[in-house]
Amino acid sequence: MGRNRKAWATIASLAICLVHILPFYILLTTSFKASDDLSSKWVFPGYLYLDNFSNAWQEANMLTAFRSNVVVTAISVALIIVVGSVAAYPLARYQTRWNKFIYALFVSALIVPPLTILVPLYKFMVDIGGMNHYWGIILLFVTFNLPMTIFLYTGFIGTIPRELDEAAMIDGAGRFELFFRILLPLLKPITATVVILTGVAVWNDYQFSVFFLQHPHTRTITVALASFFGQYNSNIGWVAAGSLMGALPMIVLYLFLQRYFISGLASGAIKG
Amino acid sequence: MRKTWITVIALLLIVSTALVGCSQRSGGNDGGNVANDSGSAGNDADGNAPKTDDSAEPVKSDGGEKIRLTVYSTIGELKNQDMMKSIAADFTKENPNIQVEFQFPGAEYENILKVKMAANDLPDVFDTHGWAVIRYGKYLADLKDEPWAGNLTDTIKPVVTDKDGKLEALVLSEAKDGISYNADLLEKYGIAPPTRFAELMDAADKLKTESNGDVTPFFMSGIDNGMIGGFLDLYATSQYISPSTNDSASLLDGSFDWKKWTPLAQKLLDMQKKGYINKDVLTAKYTDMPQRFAQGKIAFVFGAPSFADEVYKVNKDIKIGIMPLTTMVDGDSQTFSGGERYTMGAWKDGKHLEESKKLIQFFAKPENMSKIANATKLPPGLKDIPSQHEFTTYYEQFKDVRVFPYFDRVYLPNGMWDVMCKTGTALVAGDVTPAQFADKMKQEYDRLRNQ
Repeated sequence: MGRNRKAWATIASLAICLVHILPFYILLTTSFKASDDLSSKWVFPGYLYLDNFSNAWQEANMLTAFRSNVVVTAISVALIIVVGSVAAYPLARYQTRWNKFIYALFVSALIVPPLTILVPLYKFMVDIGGMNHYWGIILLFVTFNLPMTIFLYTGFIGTIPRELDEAAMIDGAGRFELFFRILLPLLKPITATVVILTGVAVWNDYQFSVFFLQHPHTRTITVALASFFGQYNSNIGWVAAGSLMGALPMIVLYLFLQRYFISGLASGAIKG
Repeated sequence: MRKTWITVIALLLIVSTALVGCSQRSGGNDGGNVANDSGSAGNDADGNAPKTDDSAEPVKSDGGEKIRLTVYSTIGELKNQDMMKSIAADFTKENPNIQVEFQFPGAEYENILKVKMAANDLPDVFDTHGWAVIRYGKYLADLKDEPWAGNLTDTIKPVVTDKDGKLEALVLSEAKDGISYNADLLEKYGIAPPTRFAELMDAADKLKTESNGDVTPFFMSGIDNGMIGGFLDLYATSQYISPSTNDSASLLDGSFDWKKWTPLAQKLLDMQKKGYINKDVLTAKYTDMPQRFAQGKIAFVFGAPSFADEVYKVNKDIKIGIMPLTTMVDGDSQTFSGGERYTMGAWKDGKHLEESKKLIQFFAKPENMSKIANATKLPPGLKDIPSQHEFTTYYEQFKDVRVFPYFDRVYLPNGMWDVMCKTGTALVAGDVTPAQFADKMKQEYDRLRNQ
C-alpha cells in the first residue's frame, strides 16, 4: 500500500515537473532558432544559432535593462527586508489591541489587486515626479510587498522564544541591539524566503514597470522585451533569448537560497 | 553568519547606489532640465548601436533653453522605428535646442495611453491610431492652421477633423483595408482577383479543392479576435453602407433592423463550415499567419498587408497583392475601409506645444513623408507625396476606389467592437447561431447607445 502510494506520488511529481519544464524547453528551442526556420517548436535546430541573443541584447538595450533590474530589485528587496522585519517585530511581540489592528490592516492590504488602483497611483506618481525614476517604482514595490513580508516575519518571529529577548535585555542590550544582534540572525530562513518571493516578483514585474518605467534608459528587462511584440509583428526568437538571459540571475539566486526558502516559508506560514 | 547577511545587504545597497549613480534619471516629463540628459550619448558606451538609441543625437548647446519632446508611436518594425528616429535627428540638427525622444511601447500602447489620459499626462506628440476624434479629441491641439493642413488627402481629412472643423492630427500613413492575397498562389491556380463576394467564394473553393487541402483560402484568429471582428467590420460596409440603397441613416438614428445582420453572420459561418478558414481558427494567433502565408498555405487575409515584412523574413521572393473589398450587393462597386494608420497629434496641454507643432510640421515635409511612405508601404496622408515600394502600383491602380471609414467607428456605439469580435468568435466556435448573433448585436447596440 505504502509502496503504491509512493509510486503515485512519484508519478504526480514527475507530471508536475513536466508541466513546468515544458515551457522552459520550448523557450530554449525557440531562442536558438532562426526566424525563417519553420521546423516544429519541439525540436532543437541542428545548427548553432546565437543571433537571437545578440539581437535581443542589442535591440532591447539589455545592458541598460539589466542595470535597471539590478538597481530596482536590490534596493526594493533590501528596503522590504529592513522595513518589513522592523515593523513585524513589535507586531509579533506586543499583541496589544492597537497592534492587532495594525497587523490586520497590513494583512488586509493583501487583498487589494494592485491594478485596480492603477490610475490614481499613476496620477500620484506624476504629481510627486516619480515617473521614469527608479525611486518611484521602488516606492511602489516596497509598498505592495510589505504586507506579505510583514505577514511572514510576524509569523516567524512568533516562533522565537520570548525568553531570548528577556535574556538579552538582562544582559544590557537595547531594543535595536536586541533586534539586529540577536533576532535578525535567527530570521535567516524567513529572510531567504522574502528575498526569493519579493526578489522574483520585482525582477519579473511587468504590470507596474510598463506604466512607470517607460523611458528607454530606465525600463526593465520585461518592458524592453515586450517592445518586440507589436500589433502586426513579433520577434518571438528575440523575446525567447532575452527572457532566457533575464531569467538566469533569478535561477542562480534561487539555487543559492532554496535551502532556506522551504523552511522559512513553512515556519512562517504555519504559526501566525 | 550574521556578518554574512549584513555584508550581503550592505553590498547590495552599495552596488545599487553605484548603479543609480551611473544611470540617467531622465524622465519623459521633466521638461526643460537637460542637465542630466547630456549623457544620452554615453549610453552608447553600453555597447549599443547609436541607431537603436531611443533618443536623438546629442544636442550641441548654443546657450538657449533646452527642450525635450516625448513622442509615442505605434510603429512596431525596428527598421521603421529607426527611420522615424532619423527624421527626428534631422529635426534636432535644425533645432539644436529641441531633443526628440521616441518611445515605441508595442502591444501595450493603447493601455498606456488610456492610463495617461486618465491621469492627464500625455506625451507631447502621440499616435492616435484610428481614434483621433472619438477618443483623443479632447486632449489634442487644433492643427488646422498648420501649413500642411490644406494638403491632407480628401479621403483622410474628414477622418481627422471633428464636427467643429478642428484638425486633430497629421496623418503620416493612411489605412486602406481591403484584401491582401498571395499573388503567386492566385496565378498558380489561374484565379483573377475577385470583385464580388460570390467570386471570392468560388476562388476559395477552387483553391481548397485543387490544392487538395494544402491551401487554406482564408486565415482568421480567435485569440486575436480582431481578425474575425475585422472581417465583419469590413463587410458590414459592403453590405449596409456602400450600396446606393443603404442602411446608414437607420444605423445612425438607432432604428436599424438587426435581423439584417443574420445573413452576414451566416456568410462567415458558411466559410468556416466549408473549410475555407484555417481549422485552428480558435487557437491560432495573428502572428502565426505570416509564416503560413510565406509558405503558400494561405491565399487571402482580410485587411492591409501590414504583415508583409514578417512574410519576407521567411520567403523574400513571395509576391503579395492587395485589392479592394469584394462587393456584397449587386450593382455596387468595390470599396476600401480606411482611416488613420500612423499619425502625429500634439497634446494640447503639453508644456512645449509650439515645439510639438514645429516637429509635426517637420515630419510633414514632402521628403520626410516620402521616406515614411516608402518604409511603411502605406499611402501617405498628404497629397502629391511620391513613393516607391511594392504596393505603390496597387494603390495607384485603385486610387479611385471609394474609401469608407471603419464601420464600427461611425455606426456602432463605443463598446460594440468587442461584442462583434467575441460573438463572431463564438459563432465560428459553434456556440451561437447567426440569428442569435444578430439578437446579441441588437441587444448590445441598444444598451450601449443608451449609456
